[in-house]
Amino acid sequence: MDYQIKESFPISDWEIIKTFITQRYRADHALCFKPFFEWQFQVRKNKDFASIICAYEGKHLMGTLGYLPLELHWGSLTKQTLGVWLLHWMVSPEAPKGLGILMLKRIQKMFALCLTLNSSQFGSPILQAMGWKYFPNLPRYIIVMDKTHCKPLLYEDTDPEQLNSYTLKADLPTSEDSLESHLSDDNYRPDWTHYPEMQYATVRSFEYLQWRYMEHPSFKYYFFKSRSKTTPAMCVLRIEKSFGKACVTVGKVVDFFYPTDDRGISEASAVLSSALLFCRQRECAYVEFKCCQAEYAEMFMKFGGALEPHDRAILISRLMPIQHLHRNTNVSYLSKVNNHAPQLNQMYITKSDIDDDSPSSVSVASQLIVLT
Amino acid sequence: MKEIIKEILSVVLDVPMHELDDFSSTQTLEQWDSLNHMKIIAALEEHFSVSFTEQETLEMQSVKLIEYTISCHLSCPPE
Repeated sequence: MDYQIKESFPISDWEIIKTFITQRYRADHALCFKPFFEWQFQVRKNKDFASIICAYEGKHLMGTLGYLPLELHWGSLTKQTLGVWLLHWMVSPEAPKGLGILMLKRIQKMFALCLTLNSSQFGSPILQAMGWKYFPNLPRYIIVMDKTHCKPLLYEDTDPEQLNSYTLKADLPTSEDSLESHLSDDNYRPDWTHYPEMQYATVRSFEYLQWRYMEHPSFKYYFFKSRSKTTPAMCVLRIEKSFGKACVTVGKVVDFFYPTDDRGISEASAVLSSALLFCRQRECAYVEFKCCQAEYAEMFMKFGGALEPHDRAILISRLMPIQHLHRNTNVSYLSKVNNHAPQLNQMYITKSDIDDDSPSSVSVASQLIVLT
Repeated sequence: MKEIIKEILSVVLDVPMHELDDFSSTQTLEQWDSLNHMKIIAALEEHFSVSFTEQETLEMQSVKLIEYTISCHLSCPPE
């Protein structure tokens, strides 16, 4: 038995990894859609290699651990730290014990700062045993736009009257003249020193947003941005249409941040108002915002939103297709960068980070659905 | 050496020593999962003052294979 761990995967071996994904997950997993796979693991940027740690027994692929190197702020808004987000950590049942951990150790040697979302029931205990900080729940906030349309999405035996606590309570503008919906290098160059709430966060640079949102092969994202180039308020939104038991439209705020001075707060209110108006015009039943940064969540709640209990859902979030599941998004990190060990509410992590906002299947991934 | 190996496994896996033999392995002991395997490796490295390669770590999936690998490191024949 000859074992090898390699630090990247050649896209020329696509059929091998597609088979592995099919066996570990299922044949219609979104990663089996090659354009999505290539985007997710930055194959173009890596010159035809996917950023995946791969473990082989001979020529047989036995395990994978995907990773995305990204610049983060980690306790400083003037200095960036190269960190890595991990995803799709899986091993074949025939793999020898310890293979998964060896892959993890390899990545921990390569990067001083490692983060992940949604570690599994198998992975979480291992991460914690290896010294990772673990937070079981990324808070989810909801604003209900239309209670009637929410009914098919109520979780289990949730009383519809509970939706009253989450209902939109603010007037929305009739126009959005003060904003920009087009993002470019010319109109977006934030001075992060004005964003103290982002001091533990993936740097939302133009280059990052361009990859994360504009180059996404499966989802369309909408930008709502105030006009300032260096201190903008920013909201990024995706509209999702459920299928299965009911056809309902939902808004998902995947990024929302702003400078927390008076002007920034005022512009943030305008930006979020416009985003919510956009959702209402598209008959969204509700709008969700998953975020651990209390300051930005507070702004969301000013519009009538409320925090969903962490131990049971009010409205289901898996819509394509509809699945009546309650599933928390857990957050983990391992930092050897400095002696900073932030708590969850000191960080800025949203559904947008790594792969919490991903298509559920090949059929979803391969249809770029544009709701205008 | 074998007794020390079994003792380490017994402690990490919380299995009585008399239940361990040459063929005790990741296939026969449910408690011998990935995390415990790495704990076993770490304990063996510390006790025998050796450092295992990734290849060796992945090969040492039974008492017999552990003994063989350590023997190679220490250049002592197995008992």
